[in-house]
Amino acid sequence: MSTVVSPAPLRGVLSGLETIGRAALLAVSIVRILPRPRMYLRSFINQAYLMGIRSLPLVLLMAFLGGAVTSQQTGAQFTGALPLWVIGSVVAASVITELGPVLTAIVLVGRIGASIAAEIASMKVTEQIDALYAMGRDPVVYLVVPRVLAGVVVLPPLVVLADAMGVFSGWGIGLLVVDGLTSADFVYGMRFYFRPWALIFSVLKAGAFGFAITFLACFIGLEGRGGAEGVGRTTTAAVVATTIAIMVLDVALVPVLKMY
Amino acid sequence: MEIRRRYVIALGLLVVVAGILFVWGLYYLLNEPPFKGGHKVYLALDNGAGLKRGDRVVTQGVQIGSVRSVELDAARKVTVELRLDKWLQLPVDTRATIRTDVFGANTVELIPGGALAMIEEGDTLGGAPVPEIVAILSELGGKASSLLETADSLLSPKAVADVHAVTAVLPESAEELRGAFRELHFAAAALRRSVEGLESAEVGSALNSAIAEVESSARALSAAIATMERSMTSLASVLAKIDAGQGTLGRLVNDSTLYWEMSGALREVRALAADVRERPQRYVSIKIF
Repeated sequence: MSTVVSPAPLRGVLSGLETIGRAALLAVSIVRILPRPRMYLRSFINQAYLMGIRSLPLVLLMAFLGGAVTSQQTGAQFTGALPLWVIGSVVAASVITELGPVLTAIVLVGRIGASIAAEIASMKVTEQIDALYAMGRDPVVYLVVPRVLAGVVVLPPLVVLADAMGVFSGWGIGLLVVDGLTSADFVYGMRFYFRPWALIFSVLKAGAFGFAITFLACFIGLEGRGGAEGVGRTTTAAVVATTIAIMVLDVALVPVLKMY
Repeated sequence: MEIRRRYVIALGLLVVVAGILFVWGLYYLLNEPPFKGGHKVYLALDNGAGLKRGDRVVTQGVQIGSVRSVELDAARKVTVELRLDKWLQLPVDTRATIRTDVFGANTVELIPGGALAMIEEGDTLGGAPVPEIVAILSELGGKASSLLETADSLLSPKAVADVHAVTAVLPESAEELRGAFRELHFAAAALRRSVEGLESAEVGSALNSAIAEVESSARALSAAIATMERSMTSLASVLAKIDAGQGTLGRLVNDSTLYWEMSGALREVRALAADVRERPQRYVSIKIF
């Protein structure tokens, strides 16, 4: 009995493989260009400023709220059942290993990922990228490498600041809201479960998230087609894909946390 | 100022502030301020007992330092480096106790001894952990398990059913025995009357003597019957109460709650004993001499 493969699924598989191949080629192009910083330094500084300094207020606000809600909910659920210093442990562990990196990445997905995809897709549909090729300029040098590098470089310091803000807000809000909690309790709890690797892991995760957001946004932007409507679709696709990628990376990186 | 330069300065500031926060936060959470000195003292242990960098070192309830490192050497000896924030005059026979609370947090408690010589920086406090409570709990668990197994067998459904069966039969048997004794009593009375008739007939001195002996025996027999009858009445009363579920023994025989509760307690003690064997650090305070 012969197996019949319908053409549509086969075309889907081949199309998926082709997309992965193009993404891999883009990654190779980025690596090839990285050793030549003079080609992209100016653009890199602009992008890093946009991602780092301009995103900082929103990142800090999200971290503040994340730490505050963690502290309050932990206090509400554990008061009377566990010692109050557990609030410090929960806030520090959850903010450093999870909330800090993920909230920061989600903020950058909305603020930077969407912007990158829309910008590059607009250039693609208006044939500006073709014009770059026609002028003998590689769009990867001018559009992709500065953004990806900025994402990888800027996200770790943003996450460190978000971690600090989250922990301090959890501390302060805990003192205000949870009856009986003292600073000594909170600090004892923070130190109780703390492992140095957790902080290093947080920074490494931030770098991975920075790469995922910017690389996927650039790639999906370069794949854009179909006029103004296509730009909208591309932007939506970039936001969805980068959000999913962050959560998948978040799960996939858990074994790294357990390494030490 | 040129815009690009301003961008670079802002980015540099971001990185520097983040870097300082990272380093400071790391040392702060490790309870080890980076620019603070301290004095090193070592502990030599057979078992690290889950100690890790940053665990507290206290004496007389006051924190005086923290664990800096825990290393296992080639000879499988654990060396723990302690950093004491301030130098105290601790006798050389100072003991270290590792206390573990219910959440798994370890604290090294230094208990000063009575020696005149004091430890110096870099000295090693030797000793090995003594799992006292583990042994006690394990022994206690074993005994409790044995006891409850015995109770379990005594209160098994089969044993209870046997007791019920015996209880059901005993009153009937006692009644039959009482009837037999009653007939024997009547027979003795008839014999007494016959003897009296014989005495009145004046058969002879030998016969009178024999009759007197028979009469004596009959009286003794009558007394014995009366005693046995009282005993059987009492036994029947007790068994009736047991069967009706009255009193401690009656409740024990008729109510299976105790059996089930003891069985449950046995299972819990077994689980506790197993948990103590698997995770003794939850229950123990290990002393190092």
